[in-house]
Amino acid sequence: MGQRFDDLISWIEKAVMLLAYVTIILVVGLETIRRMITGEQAAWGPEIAMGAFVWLSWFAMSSGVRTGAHLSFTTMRDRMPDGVRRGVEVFDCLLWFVLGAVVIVASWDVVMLNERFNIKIFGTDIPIAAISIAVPLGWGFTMVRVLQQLVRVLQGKTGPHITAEEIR
Amino acid sequence: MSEGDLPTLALLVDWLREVLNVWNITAIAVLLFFLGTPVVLVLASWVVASSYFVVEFPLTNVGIAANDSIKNFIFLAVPLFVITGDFLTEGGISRKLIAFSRSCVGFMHGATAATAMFSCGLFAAISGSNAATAATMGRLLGPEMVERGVSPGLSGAIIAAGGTVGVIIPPSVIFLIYGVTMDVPSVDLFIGGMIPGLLMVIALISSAVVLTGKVERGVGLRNLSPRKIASSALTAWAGFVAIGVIFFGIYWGYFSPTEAAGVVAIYCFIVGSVPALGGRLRLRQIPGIMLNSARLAGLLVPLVVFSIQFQQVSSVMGLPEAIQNFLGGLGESYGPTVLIAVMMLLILAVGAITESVAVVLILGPILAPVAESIGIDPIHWGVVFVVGTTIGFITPPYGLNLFVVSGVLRINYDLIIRQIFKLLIPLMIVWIIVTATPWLSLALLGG
Repeated sequence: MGQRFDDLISWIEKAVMLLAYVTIILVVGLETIRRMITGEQAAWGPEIAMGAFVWLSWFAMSSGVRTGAHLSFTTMRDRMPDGVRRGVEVFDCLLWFVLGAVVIVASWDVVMLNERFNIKIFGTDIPIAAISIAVPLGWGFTMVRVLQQLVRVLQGKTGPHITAEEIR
Repeated sequence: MSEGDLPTLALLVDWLREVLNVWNITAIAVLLFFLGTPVVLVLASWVVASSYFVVEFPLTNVGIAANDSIKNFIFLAVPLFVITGDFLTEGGISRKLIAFSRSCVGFMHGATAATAMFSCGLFAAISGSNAATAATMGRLLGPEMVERGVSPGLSGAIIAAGGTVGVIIPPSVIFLIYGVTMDVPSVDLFIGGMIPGLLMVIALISSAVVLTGKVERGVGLRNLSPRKIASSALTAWAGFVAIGVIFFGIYWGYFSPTEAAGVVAIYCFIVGSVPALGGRLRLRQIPGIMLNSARLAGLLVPLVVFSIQFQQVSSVMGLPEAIQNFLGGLGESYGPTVLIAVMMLLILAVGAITESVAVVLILGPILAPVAESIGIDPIHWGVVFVVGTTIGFITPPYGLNLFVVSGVLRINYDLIIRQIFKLLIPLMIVWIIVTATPWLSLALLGG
């Protein structure tokens, strides 16, 4: 059950990141090439690409929490006794929760505001809320990842360590 | 929560407001950093705590900034240049650039390390990220350096140092972010970074020769063949076309740096995946490559968001003015040389404990007006600033490139730290020369 849930969350994160990345490459790259050839460029291009970047960034942050990829100075933590290290890791999780609550509530207000005024992406019928909702959603996924991390720590498992592939 | 709990909570908040001032919050943040809390969490906690308890800045700002501050077209260059580097490597183009580098410097003592440094310079001219440069060169040349007898720690240190040119030789994501933050033309910064970037490459090649020449003796000039160089340059044509597209496309104004990154990403994908053109990229590899590249955005963007808010909150507190006044007083009392030296130390110190993007966003707006007030050209100062932050990338205790190389080469972080000072010295010398000689940054701009 736990593994299936983890797989599902990972699948969603990966799908969002891939879709957003492909959108950025295609919209920025192909639209520039099209402009050089035809002299025309879609007005919505930059806004869509930037929206995709918002989705990409916050879901990638969530994925980074899962893999323990967020940059940290671990020299001291690596040398701590197990109990102390676990205590500090629990404290990190609590900090994430407080921060996540602040960001989710505050960014949800922004989504509601966009929705209320029915603002659209320039040159399209897509509501701008479709971009701003990426923030509370991405942070929601991050909170799930932090919860998973907290459970791991409380179960006595060592938290994931940074690897080069994850950093890159 | 019952109604009775609410006054208790309010009392707690009031108590925290009384107890927590900016110094306490900062001290806790520094403590958390050294205890290994992720940098983004430390920064974000400082922002939220200071906003709420010290300046009573509305927390709604956190939600607005999480969306608005990253909706900047310039920032799109970050994932695009990173994926370009990955397509370049997975498509086999990086290996051809390395073969070209080997044909140019392979005759020297310490040939493998020298080739790695030369290759870093070439790779940097296509990918604008120093972490990507260090990771790629670490993967492609790190193991070979160890096989040739260079100690693992020194191999890691050399590769990490080589990665620093990734954001000095254009294109550069850090120059882009500095440009947009300080309202300085990024293209001018790119051009300004060219000669300093080349100086860094020369300094690094020389260091590689001195540090590894004893364990890998060179074969001498007889191995330097113009025919070999020409033939390897032809084989690496795809890489040189990418460099040309970026450089001339931006310089001649065909497209912006972000657009150049998009065009070159598509170009590298096509060239890297067509076997007839020597491409080795397979379609099934693409999702994995993209997910790896995407993770960098997940690390950097939250830092960008909270660095921007740090800037806003500290402005409300009057922190930038206080630092500027202090530095201004220092300049009046001891002269501009001491002032510049203190600012350089500040860049290095902050760069040694956090990530370059955060350094640019937090320190850039504080130091640039001070530099301008003593008559330093904004482009020259931009170059000096970014060279300093990139040296911070390999300065302990926290150097991103040191982590990257440690992971790629599976070498203990402490072993690399012990060797990195040998590479820091030549880079510092170049930094001082660049600072003292504005011509190096401004010559190609006609300054």
